[in-house]
Amino acid sequence: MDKIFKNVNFIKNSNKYMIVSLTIIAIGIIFLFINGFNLDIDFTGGTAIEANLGVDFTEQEIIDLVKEVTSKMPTVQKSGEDGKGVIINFTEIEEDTVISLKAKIKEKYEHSSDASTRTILATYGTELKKSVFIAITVAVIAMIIYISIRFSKLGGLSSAITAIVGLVHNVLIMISVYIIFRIPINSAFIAAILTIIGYSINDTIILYDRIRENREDRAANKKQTLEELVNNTIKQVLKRTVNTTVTSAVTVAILLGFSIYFSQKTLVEFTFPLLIGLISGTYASICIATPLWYRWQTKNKKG
Amino acid sequence: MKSRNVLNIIIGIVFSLLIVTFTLIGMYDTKGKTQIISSAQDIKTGLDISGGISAVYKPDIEGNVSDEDMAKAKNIIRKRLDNKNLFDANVKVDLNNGWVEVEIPDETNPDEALSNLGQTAKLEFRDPDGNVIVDGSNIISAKEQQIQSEMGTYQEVVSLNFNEEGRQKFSQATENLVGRSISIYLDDALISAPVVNEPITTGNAVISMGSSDLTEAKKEATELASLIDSGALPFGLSVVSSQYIGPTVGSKALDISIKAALIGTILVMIYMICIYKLPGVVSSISLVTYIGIVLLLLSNMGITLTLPGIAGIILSIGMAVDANIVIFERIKEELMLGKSIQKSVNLGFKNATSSIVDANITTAIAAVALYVFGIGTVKGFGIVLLIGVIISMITAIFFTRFMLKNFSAIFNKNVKLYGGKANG
Repeated sequence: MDKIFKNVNFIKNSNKYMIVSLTIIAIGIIFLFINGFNLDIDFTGGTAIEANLGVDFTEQEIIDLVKEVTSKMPTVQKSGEDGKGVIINFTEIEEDTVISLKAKIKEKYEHSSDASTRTILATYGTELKKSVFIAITVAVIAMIIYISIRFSKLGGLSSAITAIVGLVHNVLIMISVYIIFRIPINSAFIAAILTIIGYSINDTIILYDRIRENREDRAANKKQTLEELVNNTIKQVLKRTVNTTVTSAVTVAILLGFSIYFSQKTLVEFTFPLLIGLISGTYASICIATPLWYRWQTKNKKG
Repeated sequence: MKSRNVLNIIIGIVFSLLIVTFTLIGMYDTKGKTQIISSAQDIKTGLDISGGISAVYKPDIEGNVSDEDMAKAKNIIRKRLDNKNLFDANVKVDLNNGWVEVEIPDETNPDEALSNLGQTAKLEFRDPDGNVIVDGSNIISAKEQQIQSEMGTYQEVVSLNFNEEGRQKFSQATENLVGRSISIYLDDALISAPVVNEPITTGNAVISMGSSDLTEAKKEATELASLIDSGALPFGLSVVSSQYIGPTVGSKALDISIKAALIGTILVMIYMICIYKLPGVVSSISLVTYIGIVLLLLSNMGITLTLPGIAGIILSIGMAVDANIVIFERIKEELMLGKSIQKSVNLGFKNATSSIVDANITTAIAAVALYVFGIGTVKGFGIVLLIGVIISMITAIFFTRFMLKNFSAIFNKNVKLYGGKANG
């Protein structure tokens, strides 16, 4: 491990790393204009009826069936490993209509499974969005305060902000993944993002802690420039970082593998972004947040 | 000295085994009847796993609703659910958002379960002029009954019992209104208008069901009785969200998650042992103990586990392993500096602890924010993450250190056992 990275100067190459990240995020933004967010009814409100019909069908069949019961226009999607599952989405529909619709489905497709239904009022979706924003904002502010205090020797606020920048980077990369692959944005999405926020901040702090410690030892190593110090610290911590990522990523990757094998769509949609987030998290701690902190420090010193 | 260490290690291993046992089968009291400690199997699973119904209701009035009224609403809904024999149902009041949340696990008939649940059920007996004679607050109990009329036909009715005030008022009113009708309104809709034949002084009254089909009528009567019996809600409730999730959907996902978690954990343990050797073994014991403690806490604190909650657990397992890795890498470094094994172990823990604490506290702060300000899945995720983070800190700082210190006191000659390279 040491030998592979021996000659890598993380600080000097930080521009390259940032370009890579920005490219991914830029692709995400482009796709955003093409595809838009695939917002689930958790956020937009509406009704989703899901069932496995037990036979093959065409979307037109379903639309015709819906027309028999209501004039509301649905969006129809096929799902499931056998392609016999259907997801019918409405932006707004009454409870009675849902009941009649379910009955009609059971009538026409005798072997269909019990339909799952979800009705979310648009206001609930807004509440959900609001609560997520508030929760994350409070969390971020609290983290900034804590990090600033604990790492005051590392410039306090600068360390906090660069750590948060690393975090934002991970979230943006993850969101790009969701957009590029058209993964539905629902409650599971929130859970995945939160998981990565918790995880990547963990990572970054371990790195900063080491820098802080090495800095204190610096009295003995006066020969080292800050750049060398940071680079060496990163290499010291590298083994641990890689091992940690491997262990966490392996568990998630296994879950992802199982989910793909058993065609558990919801699980796949949950674990895939999670895996990307984990890898991106490690990458960001080393290649984005820390070099950024270094720049902030040197800029202030020289300026 | 060494025998003391061996004893400590044995104590540690026994502790781990106890935790694992409790996690798997819980603990019963000496008679074997009551369960004192719940096992992992007793963990409540969320709807996304076990299937069931969830509905969120919001009061139909502008402005704030008093906490008292919300508590009243909760009790009334609880009673209505009990009347439908849905004892597993869960009613919660979210005061921040002014919601009432209802969860009914394993229920396959959502339409029936949720029907009328949010209905205000304001019952009024009015005289022909529209004055209210008695209302729901005067009724002690209501139940469905089948009575035989004088002509010998059977009828489904709801039989009501008035309280003393109601009995008096009703008695007086029926005295004055013989030959005229009293109208019965439910939520301002007329449901019955019987003619008064004679004064009713017993404090009992019946509302007959309109339907001629006896089974249909019985269902109506049971529902109406339940509504009246539970009392009128202080306000109307409208549905904010409702979900019915088929049970097969989530249970497979849970199955897969557990299998993946098991395999993942085993692979992680193998990996740790390969790289860190003896400490790796210690961390594996720690890991198993850690998972056990977390599952026990979830089970005994009655926390519902949802799929995102499982993600939280997987994350905290990753972080628990991480703490160990940080420590072991430090130990290796100290060893490379030529220090003795025991000294390296001590120094390793000492230096690593501050970074572990910082990292975990930061994550814990985030978890608390999520739990306090989040709703639904976010809240559930927050509490699971918080528990995971705190326990992983405690396990790493106390249990792993305890075990490794004692191991290193015994196996203190061979550097290779600690992942170090033999100094040449």
